Amino acid sequence: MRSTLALALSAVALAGTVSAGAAQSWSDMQIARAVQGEESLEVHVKYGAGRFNLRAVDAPHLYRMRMRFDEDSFEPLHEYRRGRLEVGVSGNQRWNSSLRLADSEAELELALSRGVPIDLRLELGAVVTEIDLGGLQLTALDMALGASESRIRVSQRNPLILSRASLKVGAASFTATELGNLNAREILVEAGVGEVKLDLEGLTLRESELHAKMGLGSLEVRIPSNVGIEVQRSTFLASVNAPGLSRRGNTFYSENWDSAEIRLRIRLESVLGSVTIIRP
Amino acid sequence: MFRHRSRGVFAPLALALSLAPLGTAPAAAQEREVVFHQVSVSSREATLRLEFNDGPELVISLQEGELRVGDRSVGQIEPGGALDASWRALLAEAIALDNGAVSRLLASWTAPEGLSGESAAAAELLQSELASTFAGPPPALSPRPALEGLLLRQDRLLGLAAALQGLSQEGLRIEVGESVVISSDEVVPGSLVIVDGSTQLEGRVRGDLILLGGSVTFGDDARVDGNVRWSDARIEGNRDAVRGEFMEVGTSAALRDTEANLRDELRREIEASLRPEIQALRNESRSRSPSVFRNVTRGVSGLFQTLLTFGILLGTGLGLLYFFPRNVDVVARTARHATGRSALVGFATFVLGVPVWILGMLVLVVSIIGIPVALLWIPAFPLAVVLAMVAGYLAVAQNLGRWASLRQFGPFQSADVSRPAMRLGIGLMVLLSGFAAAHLLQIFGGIFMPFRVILNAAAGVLGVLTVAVGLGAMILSRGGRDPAFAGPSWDNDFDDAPASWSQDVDTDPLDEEAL
Repeated sequence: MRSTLALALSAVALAGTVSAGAAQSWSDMQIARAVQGEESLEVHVKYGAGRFNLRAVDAPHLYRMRMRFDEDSFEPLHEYRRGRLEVGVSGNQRWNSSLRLADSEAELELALSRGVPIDLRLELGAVVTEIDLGGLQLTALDMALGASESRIRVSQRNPLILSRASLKVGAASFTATELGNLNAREILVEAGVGEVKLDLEGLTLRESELHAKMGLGSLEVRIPSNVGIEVQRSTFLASVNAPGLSRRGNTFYSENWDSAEIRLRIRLESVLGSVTIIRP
Repeated sequence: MFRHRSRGVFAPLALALSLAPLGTAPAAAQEREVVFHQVSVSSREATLRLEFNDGPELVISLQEGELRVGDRSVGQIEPGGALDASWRALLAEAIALDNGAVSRLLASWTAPEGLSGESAAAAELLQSELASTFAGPPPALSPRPALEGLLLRQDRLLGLAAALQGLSQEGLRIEVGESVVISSDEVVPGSLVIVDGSTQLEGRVRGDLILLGGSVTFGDDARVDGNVRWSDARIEGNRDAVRGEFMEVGTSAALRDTEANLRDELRREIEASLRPEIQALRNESRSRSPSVFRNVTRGVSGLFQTLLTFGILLGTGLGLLYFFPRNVDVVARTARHATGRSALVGFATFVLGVPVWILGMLVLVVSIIGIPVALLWIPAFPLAVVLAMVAGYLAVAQNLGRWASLRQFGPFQSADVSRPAMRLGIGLMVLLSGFAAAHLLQIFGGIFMPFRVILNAAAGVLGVLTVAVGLGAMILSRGGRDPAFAGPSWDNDFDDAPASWSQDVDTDPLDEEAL
């Protein structure tokens, strides 16, 4: 949980480079690169404040990016070399004491190729996030979100199998839908403070695991009824609401656990708040 | 020196121009695929970067009025002028397009009409660069604007002069600001001079090839019998086509550097020759203004600053008394009757203020609901503390004014301290008197230095104590709204005869604490 608190603080640090009263000078940038025989793409996004959108893009693009930023306070970050892409903004050393957590006009839109396997790593600060990972060929997924409002969707199935998808959330409102389409053997969700909603629609792997750690706040997990679930919980001052589960020892099981073709093992850790498991 | 060289430039140039008419040559289409494009548009820059499947990248940037193609500057453009606006409009359109569409858009760009001088030359080059980069023949351009543009650019002329040194004028062909294609069956009988243009060389040049700005691409069957002399130019393709040597004749940047170096050298020489005189003048000036005048100047300046501070504080205090008389009264009485407690609270705030501010910020940030409040908290908390310090300081100054008057200190004994404004004025005088005395002593010379240090230190300590007590009183009285720690009203005191004030002071031990 320390890491998620640190994430929230780093979000403040990422965003805290602009004087609230300073005049702004907006700069627009577009970048597009065509596929040139790349066999994989490693993407690292580092973005402090503003709006961030991510989606898939068709050939011939390897990636396409559109950015709007305050050039008085930030410098665009774009580096591509041999299948490694790093994008975002960085403070330009004009450190001021005051903060502005989210800028309404700052924006980063990123579209990544559907046709190239992608290792995706996102570090987002105080950002309003809208991500659709559908159509991407993900080989790795590591997301760290600070004080943000994030909506993530996986509208189409990942054709590759992910061994692990890591979603770390600081202080945020975080909603992820159709996470089952990630095709991940393990999904790790670590949240500090806030409201987290996870929808695991789209699960097809016979065995997969969801490991959810929640500090302070509410966690809601929605799981399709055809999926058999096993729940192990470790809570301190948190209530767990999981109707329809029966207890065997220290573990809870759904009624269809023994017969289900698709099984999900859930490990819940929560300090203070509520955990709700919904079976539609 | 440069004038002399410039004169030398124009003779061969004029001769060359008269011998070889400026002309245009048909250009062949060059299909190039853009694999990467980057468009940046802001108030400071309008930059385009392209990468192709078959060659080096092209960067055209307009930054702070300077238009650059790659590393070379092609001219200064008037900010907000027609060319600036046209280039920005082009990139603004390109910013939403894909690679292919960007190529077509850029290839179809034409320079705005009505340009003159350096802008016209720069537009010519830009259009030529884009036309040679993308498919399609270049637009027909009259040679005159290109020539005018060339004549306006001294650096290019200097480069041309250097390149033309010793060049045979027989069969010489000169192209200025054009995209030229020498096809495989074409032969240039003498030397070929290309100024600010792009050249696709598939045929043969019997003499030298001179390149000033622009670019040349040697085809597989190209041949240059002589040397290639170049400056500020890009050379691509089959370099084996050149029988002679590649000779760089000095870039315009190098020429500018030379000019700058000469200026620097000249400046250094002038400074060196004048240094003894300057030093003598400085010594003379010092001997004329001994330290006693410096002390007087600094002392008077310090007094003036203290007076200004007094005026600002008095004005602020009068404003507070006018708008918040009751609050100021409660704070002052709290400071007088609970001096020790106020001082403790004030010093505690000094120590804990920053940690409380940071802690509050963290608590608000880690809770989603608190984030908007944090935006307010971050500037508001320190601002509130500073305002409380100023208000408390002024309230305590009133107490000091009253105390000084009751003690019948010199000029204050006859003052009417029943008026809060008078109390405030006297109090501020007392608080700032130490600084004023220190500045006064400075006027009389350095021998009073120890006294000045003591006076400044005493005035500083008094000021800190006053701020601490005032801040504490502000907090205890909730900004003057809660009289829980306040003593009896000032008005009650001053309703009595002045004699009773002295009696009050003599019998009320809290008055001692009020200091």
